[in-house]
Amino acid sequence: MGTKLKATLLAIIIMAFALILQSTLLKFIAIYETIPDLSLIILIFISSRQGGMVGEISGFTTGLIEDFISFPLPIGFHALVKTCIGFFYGFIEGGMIVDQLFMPILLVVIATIIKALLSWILTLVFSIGDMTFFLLNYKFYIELVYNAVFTPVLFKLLNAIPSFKVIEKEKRGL
Amino acid sequence: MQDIKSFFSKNLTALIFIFLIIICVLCIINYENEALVRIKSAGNSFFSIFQIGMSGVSNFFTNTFSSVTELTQVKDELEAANKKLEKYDKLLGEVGLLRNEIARLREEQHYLEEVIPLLYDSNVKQVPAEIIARQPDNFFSIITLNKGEQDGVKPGMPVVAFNNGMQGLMGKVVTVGVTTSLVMPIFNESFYVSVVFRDAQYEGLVNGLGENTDFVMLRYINKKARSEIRYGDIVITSGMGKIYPRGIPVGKVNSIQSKSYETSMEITLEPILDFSRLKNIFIIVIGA
Repeated sequence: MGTKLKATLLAIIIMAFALILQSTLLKFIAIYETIPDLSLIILIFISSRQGGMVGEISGFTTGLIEDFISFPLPIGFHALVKTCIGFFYGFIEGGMIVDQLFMPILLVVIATIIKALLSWILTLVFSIGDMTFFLLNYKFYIELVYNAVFTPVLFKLLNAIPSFKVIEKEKRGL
Repeated sequence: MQDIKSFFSKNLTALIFIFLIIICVLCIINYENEALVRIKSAGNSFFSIFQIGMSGVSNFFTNTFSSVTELTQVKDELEAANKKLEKYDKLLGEVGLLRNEIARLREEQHYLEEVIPLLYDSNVKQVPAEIIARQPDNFFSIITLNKGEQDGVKPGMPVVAFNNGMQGLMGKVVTVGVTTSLVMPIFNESFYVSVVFRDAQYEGLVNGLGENTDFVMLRYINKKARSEIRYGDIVITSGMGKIYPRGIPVGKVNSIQSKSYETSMEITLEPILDFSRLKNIFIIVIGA
């Protein structure tokens, strides 16, 4: 349990840092004002390696932070989206990853689509803002490609963190 | 009892998930609740500290790099200028420059006539600000400035900026923290401002068209104005409603749409400001 808690806290800190990075420095690499969602990529990594519990809690907390620094979406919007993604990707925990390149990219691309779809549904259900259907928004496609490009790099970096390797060691009985 | 304990331990992840979702839904439903608004404002104030820090670090490096680049450029320009001076003995070339200067001075004169009275109005204060962050998601283009409640900023205050020597309306403050504030830009679909043509004096309402377009829309202009409005005419804030002071340039006429069955026209405006290169931002504090 202590290992999970440590992984959760570390995940929250890293994702919060990624969010601050997204809102400040990443503007220098924006394409048509669109930036990659680093916190989402990190959430996919965490959930698929550490499980649903770590995924949903870190997703909820990071989503709340994103709600604090966003407008006009209300508190709970990003928290709900990221909690769902964190929980459902937790089912992959311990599953076999065929390769270190295409499988992570596929997971993140699917997560980006789910994020856009969930966000669009929420705006319709709760009548928040006036968002275009996400498939008609060019920014969605730019973010999709951008996330796919950043995935292998981030996964490689996160793999090097000892706390995130614990589960794998336990499963191999080391 | 043993069964309940066993049920909880087997399904703990799912139960926590359901609990978190309920919290999120309740927060979204009650988003106008004063307590939640305060929590959001407090959270924004707290995390903006990190945004200010990160922005400061990046500004240090970009400013250093810009200074070095500028120094090299200035040196090259000096050498080029010296060479040009030797060639400048033909008066015809100077006539062209003088003509451009006259046009620029005319623009400045218009600006000074409209804005200087505002600057010297003792009831109005201009608080300089810098952009420290933009919204992390890609859905909205809300901008975070480094001035907040402690600087006298309140929601609803207009924000202006400069581009190529011209001042233009950037947007309005929507949320204020202790040291930061969030600004809704003029191209946001929820943004409205009452305007008037600088030369023709016809009034209308400008509304943003969303983040996916470079233009804003001016509506409710009487069709009588068609013969007096030219492409490139400048539209300024009218001062109605006392929210935006009169005289702040908003945009230039780009295209005019006039349907036969309607009594008013719709005019597409190109914003005065280039939002990718905003400089010298000021929050207008009225009643300071």
